[in-house]
Amino acid sequence: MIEEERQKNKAKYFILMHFVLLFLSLNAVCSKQAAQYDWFTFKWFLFYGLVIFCLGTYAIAWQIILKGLPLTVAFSNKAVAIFWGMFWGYVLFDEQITLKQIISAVIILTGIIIISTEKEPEKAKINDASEVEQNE
Amino acid sequence: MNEMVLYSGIFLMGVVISSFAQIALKKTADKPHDSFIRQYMNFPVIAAYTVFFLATLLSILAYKVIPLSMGPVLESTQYLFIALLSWIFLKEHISKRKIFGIGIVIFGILLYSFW
Repeated sequence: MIEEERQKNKAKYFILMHFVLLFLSLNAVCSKQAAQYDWFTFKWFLFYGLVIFCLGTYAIAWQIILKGLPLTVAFSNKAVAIFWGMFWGYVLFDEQITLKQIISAVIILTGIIIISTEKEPEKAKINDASEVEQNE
Repeated sequence: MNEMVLYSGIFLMGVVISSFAQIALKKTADKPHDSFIRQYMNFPVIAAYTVFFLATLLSILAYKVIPLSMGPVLESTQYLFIALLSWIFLKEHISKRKIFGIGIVIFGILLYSFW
């Protein structure tokens, strides 16, 4: 029963994390939009303000996510930003997305997963210890 | 094409300076501080956040030319920069697995850019 509850909680954090990452991807959208205007004009400030707002909100939300999910899961999922970038580029800025780019993005994602799923020896020990504690 | 390379360079410069800032944050986080406030209000932390702020301006400058879809791809180079800088300044060990992963990321970025 407790195990079921824990899995449910993890799933909740996982979904929340992807909402946060979607929100973070809007920071790049606002940067790109700000880039369309002359610097220090009203619209430039508006979109740059949104960039800072997105980053600030993300920083706070990410701390909450890290409490509920292992760092390796959080970091490897962060790579989804590449796909959001392609999606928003295609939908909002009429950018061409080719099959070659999608294949390259999958390769980058694979590399990121390899890097971020590595368990450091000390960390592995700590994780095991906390798991024992939780089981108790 | 040349313009694209130049503006990609500007974007990458933002990634590099942010990576330096990350290392500075890590270095101060490891040091003991007199108080909670001191932990945040000290030179390396303020400098790091100023650098993050500058990096956002560099990315806006770069997005004038580079497509939105390219931004997060170029940002993936931070895995390389952070690993290198951690090795140099924090004396962190880079495992074979990490080198392999970084190699794949760089290969993917080059494919994305030039294929």
